Amino acid sequence: MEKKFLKILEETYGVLPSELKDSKFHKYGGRRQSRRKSEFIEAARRIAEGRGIPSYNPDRICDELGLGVPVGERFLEPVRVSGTDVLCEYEDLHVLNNAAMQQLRDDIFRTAITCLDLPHRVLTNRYGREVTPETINIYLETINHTLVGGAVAQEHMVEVNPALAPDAYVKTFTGSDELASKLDRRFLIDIDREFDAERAAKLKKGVGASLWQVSRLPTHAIRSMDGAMVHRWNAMAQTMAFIAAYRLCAGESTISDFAFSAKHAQYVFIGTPPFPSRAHGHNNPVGLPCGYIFDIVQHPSKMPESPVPVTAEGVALEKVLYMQWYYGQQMIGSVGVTVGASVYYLNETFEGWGEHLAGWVRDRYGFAGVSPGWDVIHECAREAVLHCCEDYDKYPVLLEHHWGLIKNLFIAMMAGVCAAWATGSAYAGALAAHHALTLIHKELLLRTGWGGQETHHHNSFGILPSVLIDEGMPVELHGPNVPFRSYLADSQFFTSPAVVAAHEARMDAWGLSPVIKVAFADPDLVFDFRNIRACIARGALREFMPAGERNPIIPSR
Amino acid sequence: MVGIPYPGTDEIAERRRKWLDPDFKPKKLREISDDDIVKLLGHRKPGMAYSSVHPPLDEIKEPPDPIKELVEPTDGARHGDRIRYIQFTDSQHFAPLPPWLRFRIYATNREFRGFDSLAYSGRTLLEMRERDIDRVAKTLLETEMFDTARCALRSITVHGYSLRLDEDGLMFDARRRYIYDKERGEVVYVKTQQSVPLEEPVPVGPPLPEEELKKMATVYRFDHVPPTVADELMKVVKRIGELRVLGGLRPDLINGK
Repeated sequence: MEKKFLKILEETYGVLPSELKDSKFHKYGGRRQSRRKSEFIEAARRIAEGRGIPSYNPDRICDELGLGVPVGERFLEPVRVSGTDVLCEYEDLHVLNNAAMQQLRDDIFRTAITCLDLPHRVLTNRYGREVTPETINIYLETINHTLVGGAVAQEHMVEVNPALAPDAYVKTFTGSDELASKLDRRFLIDIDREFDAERAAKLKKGVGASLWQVSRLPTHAIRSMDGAMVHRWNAMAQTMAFIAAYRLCAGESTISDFAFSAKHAQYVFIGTPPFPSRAHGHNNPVGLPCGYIFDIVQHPSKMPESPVPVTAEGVALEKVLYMQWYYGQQMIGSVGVTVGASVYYLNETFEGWGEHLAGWVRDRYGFAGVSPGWDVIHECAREAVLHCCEDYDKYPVLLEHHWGLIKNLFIAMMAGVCAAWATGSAYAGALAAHHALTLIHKELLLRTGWGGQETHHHNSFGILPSVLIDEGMPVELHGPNVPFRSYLADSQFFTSPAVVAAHEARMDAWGLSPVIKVAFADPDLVFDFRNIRACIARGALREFMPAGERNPIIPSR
Repeated sequence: MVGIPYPGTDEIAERRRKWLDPDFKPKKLREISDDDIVKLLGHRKPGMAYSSVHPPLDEIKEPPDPIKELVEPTDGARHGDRIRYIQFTDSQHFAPLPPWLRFRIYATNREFRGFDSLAYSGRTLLEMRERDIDRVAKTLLETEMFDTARCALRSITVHGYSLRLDEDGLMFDARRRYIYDKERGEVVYVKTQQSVPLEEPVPVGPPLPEEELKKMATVYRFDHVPPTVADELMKVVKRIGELRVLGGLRPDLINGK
């Protein structure tokens, strides 16, 4: 069966993907073949005229002065977001040009998760108060007032304009059916409603009888400050809500227990702070463990038939967070690495290769059907490398579309995913990815490359087997923060898809945390984590409405 | 033949072994004048003296160092030349040498001494003292290491290795440093490797025929010598991977493997 991505390439390039030559190089119309670039040139011209200081001006820099690359000497191909019919330009997928990608990040990192068990024990044991579903509901209504900047204790408090924070609210969830049934449904993430019966049962067991609170801070707040303030903001709102809802003394020593539980004792950080040179606090992509990627993805599973759809969604989420936001913008900045990061969720390429490899795994091992030994890891990596290389060799247009190192990283990622599907082990997947890049693919084609080179991929073989914090750690806990990954920011981009692939192959209800899985099943989030690629596509079309806009406090135009 | 014992019996493995022989002398295919090479490199004008960053070594009194006794300085180092570069982009469509083979040749062949190199996905940088660069550039441009259509001199805007070929079979270059002169039947550089326009074009010779390029191929391709024949190579890389895993933190687990 012909892969869909070949058809898409044929449609977008207007030639057969097997075509080796392009007689139109240098005749495509330069940068103005791109509608977006033309729009940018015009916008920058108006800005420069208005302020008297030059701005973006490729006609001047690249053509007149002959200094820059004359972009558009080749065909600047439009791309289709996988899983959708949306055709867009790469410019639409730069994270600073795509409001959905910004909201994706904001929705994850403006989330504060705390367990209410400890403050409830303080109320019962130290104050002798009764905590009932009714008092919990009153508390939840109160914190929905304080979280958006409403005052409850002092008169001289200046409040936040709630029109700036329509996206901010607090909800709860629990694994206890009895407690859940008595909570105000406006404040409940209902596990039974958001998941199928089997997963719901597993998640409720994982969450237990504890009551978890999920606070969504205003997008405006996190965009004005950063993720490091999220737990503090939540702790203030939460503590004040307890004081008000249970009529406590504001300032007595016991109140510190509420603050402690809200900020530290039972608080779930979405991301740990990075090492100092990265200069970020908590709740930032650099500290997000990749096991959470599987948990944040809410796409309906097609297992046991196919692990491809959920893995594809995980790939998209991971690429946007780690590769586009963290590596592309926070580490590099400016133009970043949009093309290098986005091809993995474009043109159905992952899906095309994924269906082949999933079929190969199904026939040979079954999903999560074999123990992760080196023979299996090597076989999976070899199959993925050879299959992808065959397509690149047969279809020069595909090779052109996957400019530069993208090809090598794509192959390594497919190797990792393949081994993860076969073994159900993220560790096996990670090893297969490193093995494919540094040894199999490299020796067959004698190419690897890009600025970071491949040293860390060689190190990975020896380090990954350790679960000690300073050495390897379980792969689910990896992120760019892990020491052996941290010195070159690109090092994990093909191992984290293996985490999603492994847990999907196992038909797990969650990967690293049931709490994270349920917290992001919230249907009221601005970004739709059930349909990540579709949401990104809406952002590309400029049809995605983000939160955090300052319209209520700026002049109308 | 003394060299790296590269695994495999197929023609690709044979050629890799040949290239990695420290004494291998690549076949000369074309003549490019010394002045033209200097122009292409773009570091100085032909006839200009070399710039230096330190006095000649013979004039410097250095503290005793046993390594300096062992290693004979290159000509460029002896004169105190500044370090300059040459960088190649090699097309995936049958360029004679992919980046990692270039890199390994630089490391193994006796002609290349006193250098730094970096192999990317499509390009390979080589840095040496300036007169050493001038010397090796002759080899790099005049021999079978270079095809005028599938290899290119580029210090900036290096992408193009993975793109399709133009109508004349040349590797894409957004900056159009070279063109195919149909009348002369050869490739002509109109810009330096930095993409600065040349005062006069520099012809570098005709492209090699496709069949010739395939006979010189050093990578496995499904449309030529497929990677499925590289059984011995696969066995070796599989073993290396396994030993790295076992040996990383618990070398005792290797246990004779």
